[in-house]
Amino acid sequence: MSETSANEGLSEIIDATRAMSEGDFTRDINTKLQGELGELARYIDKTRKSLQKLDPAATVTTSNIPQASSQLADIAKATEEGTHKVLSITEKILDNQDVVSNKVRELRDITASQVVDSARILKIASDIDAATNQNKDDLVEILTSLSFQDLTGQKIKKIVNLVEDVETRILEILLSFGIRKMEEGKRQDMIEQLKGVNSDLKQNLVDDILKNLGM
Amino acid sequence: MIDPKIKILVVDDFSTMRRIIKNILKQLGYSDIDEAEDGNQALSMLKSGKYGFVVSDWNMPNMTGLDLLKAVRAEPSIKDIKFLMVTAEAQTENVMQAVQAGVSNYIVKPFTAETLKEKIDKIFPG
Repeated sequence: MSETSANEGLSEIIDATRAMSEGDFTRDINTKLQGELGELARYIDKTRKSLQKLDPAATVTTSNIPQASSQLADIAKATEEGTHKVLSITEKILDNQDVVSNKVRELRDITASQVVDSARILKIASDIDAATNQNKDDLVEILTSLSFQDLTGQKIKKIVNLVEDVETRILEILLSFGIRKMEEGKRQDMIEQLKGVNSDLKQNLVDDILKNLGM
Repeated sequence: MIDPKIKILVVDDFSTMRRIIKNILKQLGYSDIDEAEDGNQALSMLKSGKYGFVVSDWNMPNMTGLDLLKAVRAEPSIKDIKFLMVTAEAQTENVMQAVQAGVSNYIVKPFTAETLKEKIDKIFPG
């Protein structure tokens, strides 16, 4: 659907409103504008579904725009849980490091005492071995646990794209309101300009349009 | 287990993921590991290097893992390189597409080191 059809719909709404202010209530309001907004809602829904594919357990609400915020809440939760998991494993590793230090101290004491108890020394050696092997496994588990950043990062990318696209589409609808009387070519230029500039300049363009609408 | 000297290419647009996979592969005994952040970069590296194994994500900008797989299988000099897909995409249709395109095995994120080892052992038996 193009800005032309949104433009036509809005023209008719504005004409009908003007007619009503003159006492003429017989005008039909064209529902083409609904199409533009309907398409926006459909687009948001499509993004919501593709976000859900990334994480079927994610919270789903029935409203449209708040989809982005519920996804963001899920991301905050995932990063918190991921961090706690890594912290728990880190605590285990630190405890094991203490075990190893104690065992090493024991070995040193035995050697200093010069009483060679082979059985005891072998037992200490195997305890150290067990503790360091456990730490190795736990460190690898930290590696894999950190992959939550990749999953949340992908979700964030999708939400950023959604927000940018929604911004652009809202701007296009605003343009339809503000410059319906301009020729087609000039309208297209405006839209291209808006797509190309950074957010500060965009805001200035939008402010101009809003001013023209009397806001 | 495969020849530990095998040259491996890890492809993912997320640097953290590349680092995690590279570290786990190191723990499993492999030390010759290169990285690519992009399917296009990966394809040119594969064409000019002597890689025996690719571990790739699916969702990447410019060229998806699936397109990379198809490109590799279509290129005579590298068509037989073993290709492991590691991805958050877990729908049946994704797995089927990958298998039809000639993937060697498929891992879903998040994964454990054990799963990675298991799948690699299946790709390179003996």
